[in-house]
Amino acid sequence: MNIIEINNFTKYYGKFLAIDDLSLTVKEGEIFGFIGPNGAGKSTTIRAMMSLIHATSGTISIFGKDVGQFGVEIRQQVGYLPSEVFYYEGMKAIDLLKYSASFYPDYQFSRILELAETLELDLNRKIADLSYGNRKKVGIIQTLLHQPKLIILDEPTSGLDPLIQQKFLDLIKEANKNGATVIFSSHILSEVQKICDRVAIIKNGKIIKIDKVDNLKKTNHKKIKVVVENNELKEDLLNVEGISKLVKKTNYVEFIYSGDINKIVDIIQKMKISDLLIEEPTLEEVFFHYYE
Amino acid sequence: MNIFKFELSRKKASVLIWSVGIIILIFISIAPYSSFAADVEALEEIFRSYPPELLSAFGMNDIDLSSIVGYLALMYPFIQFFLAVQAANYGFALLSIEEREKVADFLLVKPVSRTKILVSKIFAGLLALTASILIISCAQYVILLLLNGDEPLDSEVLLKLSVGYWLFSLTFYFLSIAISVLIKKIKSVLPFSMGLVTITYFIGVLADITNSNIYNYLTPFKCFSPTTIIENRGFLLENILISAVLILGSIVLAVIVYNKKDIQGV
Repeated sequence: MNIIEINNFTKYYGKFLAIDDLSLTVKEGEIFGFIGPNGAGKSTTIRAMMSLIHATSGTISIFGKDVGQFGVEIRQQVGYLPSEVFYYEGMKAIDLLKYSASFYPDYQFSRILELAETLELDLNRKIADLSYGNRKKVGIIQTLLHQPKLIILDEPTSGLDPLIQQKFLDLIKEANKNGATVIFSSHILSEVQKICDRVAIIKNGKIIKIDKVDNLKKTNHKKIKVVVENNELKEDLLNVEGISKLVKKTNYVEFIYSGDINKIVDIIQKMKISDLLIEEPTLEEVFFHYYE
Repeated sequence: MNIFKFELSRKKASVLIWSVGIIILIFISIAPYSSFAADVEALEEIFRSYPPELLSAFGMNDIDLSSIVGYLALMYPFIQFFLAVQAANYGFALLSIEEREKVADFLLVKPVSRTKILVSKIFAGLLALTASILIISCAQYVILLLLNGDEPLDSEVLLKLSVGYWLFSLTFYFLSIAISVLIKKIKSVLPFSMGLVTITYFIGVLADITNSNIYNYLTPFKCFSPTTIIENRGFLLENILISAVLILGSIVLAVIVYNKKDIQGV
């Protein structure tokens, strides 16, 4: 069964085309990733699903019902975590969560306490006094407290430390195991790789690729920067398969490498280097062929 | 009900502060009356020596200073000014707070329709405003009672002046709600409420100077002017109708626009 069905969704802001004829379906029980650079249209699409904004043309249905017509009914079963979490300031976290819970007739208060304990959040503090990460935790709790059938997360991990990030991802996986479908938007590929079944890559309001994560994982890209002493750069060594986007300067090279990591380490070993940086490339760097 | 209760509880402090502030204003305005109550004739003599246009500008025509209620009528527009600011503040903040404090993504994704959110909020603001007027009116009555000494008070007119406060505030409240949904983003409420109140206040002043009836339809300050209420011992039907149309029109407009509005992210 399709939980989400988007057909030819188009959104104009005045003359600016934010979303251009976007169509996709998400099946029940999937964890569906939504990746793309900032401003690509991830949030716009999500906000349209939540009926925060209205489509210029096209249809969006969730649980087989149109979001415009049956929004209230649909939202009963949806948990949404916005990318930036702000709340009525001056309120305590617990009061806000109780207010949030009051919209869902059959929630259990113990669930709030349970989630707060998992995420290590002190519920008696004022939201205004909370750090960005802790405020995000409040957001996570209010997203999950009514055990929604569809969980929509817009860049959920920003601001969370790695330990809490892991706990949060576990919570999502657990909810998914219990039957929830998840939409997970992010611009960090590794995060999406960790959790999603399928991903859509979105750019300039268009979907440029929808694929299984397993297929994307095969392209194991690394961004490598090799800094050398003066004139120690042996460029010819770098004529190997898997190197792309090579940038040469007098005392360093920078490139994207995809392939067996041992091979490239062997090559670098032959140079006298003063510094070495191996990092996760940004999405744009990995999918540059989509983005060019 | 949860939205209504939540919104109302957030207004408690504001209602108290505004009420106390306006009660103090009333007391300061009325307190001098007792000191020159004995010399009302002399005072009226002074007023007569002023050019009538000046008196008109301050709404001092047709005001009978021989009673404390008449003196209250003299101060009424100033009190109205602050009541209007309070009402307009509530109106402009009602729906813009979610976007300003960036909590739209919290409230508007809950399983409630926007119309229900709007109606719940409107009622909460309405009750807060009514409570405020009630507190102010009771305090005003007590102040007048204390300052008036042994003279009898015209309670009926006082009651009607208070109803005037209420209708006047409601008009500003709903007008502000309607204007607020038409504005893309309200970063701060006060410039809008001060702007609206100041403009309508000066339209009222203009109306007094020119003695033209047309302005009566342009500003609540004229619809609910104390002289009209005292002279007629009540309200003119046409003024009530103007207000009712404004209020109903504002509600309809707000419901339509708010339902269609795109709520932008941060």
